[in-house]
Amino acid sequence: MRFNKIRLSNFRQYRHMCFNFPKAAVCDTHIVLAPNGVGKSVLLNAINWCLYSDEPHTSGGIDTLHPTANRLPICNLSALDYAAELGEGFCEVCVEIEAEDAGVRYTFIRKARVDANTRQQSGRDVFRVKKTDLTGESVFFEDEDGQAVVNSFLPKTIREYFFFDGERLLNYFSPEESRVSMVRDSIFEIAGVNVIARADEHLQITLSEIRRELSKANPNLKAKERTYNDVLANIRSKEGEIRDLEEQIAISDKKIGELEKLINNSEEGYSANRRFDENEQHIAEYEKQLEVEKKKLVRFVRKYLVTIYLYRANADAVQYIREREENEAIQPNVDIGLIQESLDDHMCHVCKREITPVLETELRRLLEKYKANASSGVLGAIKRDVQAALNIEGFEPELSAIFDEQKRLETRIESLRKENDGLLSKIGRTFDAAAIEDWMRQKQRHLELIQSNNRKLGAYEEALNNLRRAERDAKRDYDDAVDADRALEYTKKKKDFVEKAESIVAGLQTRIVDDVKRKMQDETMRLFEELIWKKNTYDHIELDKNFRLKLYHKRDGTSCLNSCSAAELELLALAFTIALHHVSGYDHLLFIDTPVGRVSDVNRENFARKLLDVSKEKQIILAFTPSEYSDEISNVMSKSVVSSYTELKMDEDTTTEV
Amino acid sequence: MNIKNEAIREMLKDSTAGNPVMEKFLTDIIEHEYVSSQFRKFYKDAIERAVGKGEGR
Repeated sequence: MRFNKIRLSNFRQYRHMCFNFPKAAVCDTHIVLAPNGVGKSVLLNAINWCLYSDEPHTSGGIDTLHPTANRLPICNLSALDYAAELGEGFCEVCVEIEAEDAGVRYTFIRKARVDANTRQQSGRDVFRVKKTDLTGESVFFEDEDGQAVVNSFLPKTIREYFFFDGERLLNYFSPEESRVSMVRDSIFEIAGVNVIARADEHLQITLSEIRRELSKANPNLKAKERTYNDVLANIRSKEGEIRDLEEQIAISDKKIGELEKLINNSEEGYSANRRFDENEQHIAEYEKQLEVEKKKLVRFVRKYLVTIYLYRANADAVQYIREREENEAIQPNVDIGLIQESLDDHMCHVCKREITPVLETELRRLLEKYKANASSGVLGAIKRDVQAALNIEGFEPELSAIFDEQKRLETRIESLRKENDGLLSKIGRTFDAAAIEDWMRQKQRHLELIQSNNRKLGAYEEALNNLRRAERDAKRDYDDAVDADRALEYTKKKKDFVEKAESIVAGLQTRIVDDVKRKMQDETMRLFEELIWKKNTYDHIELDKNFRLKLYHKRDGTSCLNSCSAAELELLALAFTIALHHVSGYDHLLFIDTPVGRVSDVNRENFARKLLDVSKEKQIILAFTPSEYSDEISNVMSKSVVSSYTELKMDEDTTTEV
Repeated sequence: MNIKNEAIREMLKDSTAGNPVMEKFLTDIIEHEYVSSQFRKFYKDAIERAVGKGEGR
């Protein structure tokens, strides 16, 4: 099915608008471009309202008990004001969709009247379908009959796979049980599995009615029939118990997954917090060491300050004394007292020998000379001390060692502080040691429950096999009794025929589920690889019996769906949707509102190329915001390539216009 | 044709190989399931037609 036209009259911000979707190019792609709030989602709601009488795409979701609560009336406000001004009691809202399927044309029209004064809808919607076949002959269907026509094309339960908001794709693979069962049920509905299941159920009912008919005609059969029916009832009951156990195991399995996620997240926070504390301890230690180094520096400064401060003056003084010595202006460093004592004792106090008269004369001469030049002796003494003050070897390595150690400690502290800033954000996702323990206990309980349920499952399956053997025996007894009564031959033939039909349909059900699953896995993976920018990253897709999707990584072969980015999930969901269309045989249009809100860069280009390719076989209507319709999209889906391009704008904040 | 999934048709043909009456019967009732939840009369008539045509005789 494809849409040719959508006409909106007084529907929310649309006053009178007609969208034409002609197939004017090879690619049946249609672009609707509008800024936020101008009417893309309203257009999506208009389609839903026309076909199903509701508006599922609202910002806050619909309060099903009070669908009009906190919402403006469905009728355009200007139209209502105008109607009130003219004194008209009502204003009519109408959405009309012209569509075609295999050459047959359909017009779906829904109308509602809104009171111009109370602004409430007056009476029920009126729904009408006009079907025009290839010969041009038209048939009309009203209300419920019209709805049946819509459902024969696109049941309400599966519309989400044909008209949807791109943001919805993000929640597609949510592990929530309701979401999982919704995806599974939708797949079963779209792929025809549910139809086969209904046929099987109806054949079983028909069969039991035929058996009752046989028993009524021959009371002797009644006991045999009762026995047979009892066994059948036991089988159904046992099958139900097995299903319950399997569901319980699946629930425990899912719960374990959720708990592991919680535990892992909390463990991450827990270990981040532990690391944070360790780092804080290290920081405190390093800060202590830094204090020690600072004290060392103070001691160093104290030790060298005067020396360093007077270094120049000391060096000059030594230089001056040396120059005087060279000019012999300074006497040698001689102890005058020692000479005097040696003269007084007539014995040298240095070598302990007697002083001869010649030596005594010489010593008295020197003594007189040195006494006359006493200051030069002082200079000699100063020179020794000042020379010592100039000896500052080891000063620079000592200072460097202190500075190097300080720098090392400061760098380490800074790096630890930086790491702790990062850790804080992880710790922000709070953890609770008691909660982790509780989760671990819960996980253990569920593991034990799975073990115990698996044991029960084995016993139940054994019991079911026994019941099936009993069923075969009871049926043989019953058939023998029927055979004995030739008068029931025709009814027996019907019974045999329906039994055979039911057995074929039951087998068909299993085969079709397996077939859909296998095709969905392969097709989704193929399309996903075309859409995704990462090549050779993902290996394969697996759907479990509940059609819960698992995506396996190429490198380590583990399931990695929860590690995918929002863009990857959106593209995967899109691949899944298109695959579902292919596999199910539904060749209806695809309408996506805000299709690439979370997707950027090269992914947008892949998206545009793939959708353009798909639109060679089916109609695709895409409602973009201007920022979404970026170069990556517009270069591929240019106006010359697509079948139609419509830009919307808002007039005076009230009415949407082309 | 209401059966959209081509695989169902193929499997029906395969499962009822050599028995066109059964194939027709099953195709009819499955097609019917797509459009209506009322099955008793439709099934009864379809069974009568199939058995009347010689199926099971």
